[in-house]
Amino acid sequence: MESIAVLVVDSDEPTRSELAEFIAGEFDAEVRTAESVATGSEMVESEPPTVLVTGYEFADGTGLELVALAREHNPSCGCILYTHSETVDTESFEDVIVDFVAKESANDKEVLRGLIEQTGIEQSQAAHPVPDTEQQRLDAVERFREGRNTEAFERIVQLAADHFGVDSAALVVVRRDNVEAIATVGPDLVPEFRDQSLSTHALVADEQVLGVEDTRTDPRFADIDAVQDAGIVSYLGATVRDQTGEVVAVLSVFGSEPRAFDAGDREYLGRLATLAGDLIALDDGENE
Amino acid sequence: MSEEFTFPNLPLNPVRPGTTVLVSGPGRPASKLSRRLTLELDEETEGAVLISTNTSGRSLAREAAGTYPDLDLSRVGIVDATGRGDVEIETDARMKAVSSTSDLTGISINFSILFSALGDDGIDRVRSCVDSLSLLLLYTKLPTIVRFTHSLGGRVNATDGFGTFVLDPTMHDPQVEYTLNSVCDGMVKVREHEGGYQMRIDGLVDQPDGWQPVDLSP
Repeated sequence: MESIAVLVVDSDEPTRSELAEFIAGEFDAEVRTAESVATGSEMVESEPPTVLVTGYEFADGTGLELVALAREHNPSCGCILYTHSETVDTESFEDVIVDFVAKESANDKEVLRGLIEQTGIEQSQAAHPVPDTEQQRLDAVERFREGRNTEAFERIVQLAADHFGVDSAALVVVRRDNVEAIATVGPDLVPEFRDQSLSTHALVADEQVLGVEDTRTDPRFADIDAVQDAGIVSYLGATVRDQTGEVVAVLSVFGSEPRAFDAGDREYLGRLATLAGDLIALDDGENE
Repeated sequence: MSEEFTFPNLPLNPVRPGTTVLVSGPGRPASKLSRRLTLELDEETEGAVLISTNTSGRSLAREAAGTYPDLDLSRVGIVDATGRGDVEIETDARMKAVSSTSDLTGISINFSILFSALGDDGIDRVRSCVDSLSLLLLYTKLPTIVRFTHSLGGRVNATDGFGTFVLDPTMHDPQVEYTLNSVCDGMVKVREHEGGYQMRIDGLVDQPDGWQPVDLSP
């Protein structure tokens, strides 16, 4: 399991150190601290945290400013306001969404621990669906990424692009916060962040293959700038499973026009994705 | 782990703590069912927090007192998310209000504050209800509602609570229900049938199969 990066921002010392020590004792976590919005902002920008635990009122701003900045640099960042103040001005931050823990309320540390686990490990503030077996899937993805020869996958991606007559296709892995192309054909249209990615939704689809006829009218993608700016209008994605059954990648084709995908289209891409899974199993077998 | 949540007057078997369900159906019956799931609580150990986007806090407190005259309202918290701030009423229920239905951050903070206030009074088993996601979707985009639902569900999970989220699927593209269902542990569908109502449970273990009659008359 990956360790989590937690940033604690609180103007009060020793509260800051005590909180950092508590979190480090409870989690496999790299914990950093800051005493102000300015210092916290620098840390968010240089190394976006997995979880931000912040006070609300600071001499140079508010914790919600830090939350907005943290989400800009890592949209999946878990954000928790930990403060005495119950009066929070949310007018300029209506859609950032945070958890809130009142300092010195009953079991505040226990609740904080539970919420760090939820937001940092279970991704409970993600703006995208998360598969039920997420941690096993992430572990499988990391195994897949290690020292993989991508040549065969590039050929499979090329077959997909040729079959569907599209300019862009890719084999992508969906990591905790971002998306990474293992093999691409044509322009790289793979978005950086997980919550912007069409492949994210392929992970939770009922079937192996997810088709999107027109992203501009689909409520999951119509408002996602990274999808619309890249000119991705239609999409077909098929999940690739390793020998343990976990989804380690998504074979994706991107179209620039609306397109209805029929059963034959889905079957073809599904077969290519299954072939990619067979290659992974073969590769892993040879390395054992 | 604490004991399962029970629903003695509904065709729903006990569910494990930390469970969230999407209550999907036409507005009125879906609201009624989610309130029953939330307010018919075990008063020895449980409390409830309701987020209401269409009924004011004052009306909801009055309605709860009328429907459940024996309910100890000091165990109930209400976030009035109508934007009308209509929470002036003599009641034991705890009230919070946000200035706008679009203020999801304010709603999530007030939800947490009420959860915490119940905890301060020793009530650490909390049922919660968001009624409704459909109305929130009029004000903001789907990914933000996914984050909101996830976040509240995370608190339900972290505190071993039970949470319901109401959605009227007739108001949305089918992908909206599909996506929000994938954020919850299960779904309870409700529909009108031959002058009455039926409910069906998907995604939760050891539950009745198929459509079951349900009385939503109170």
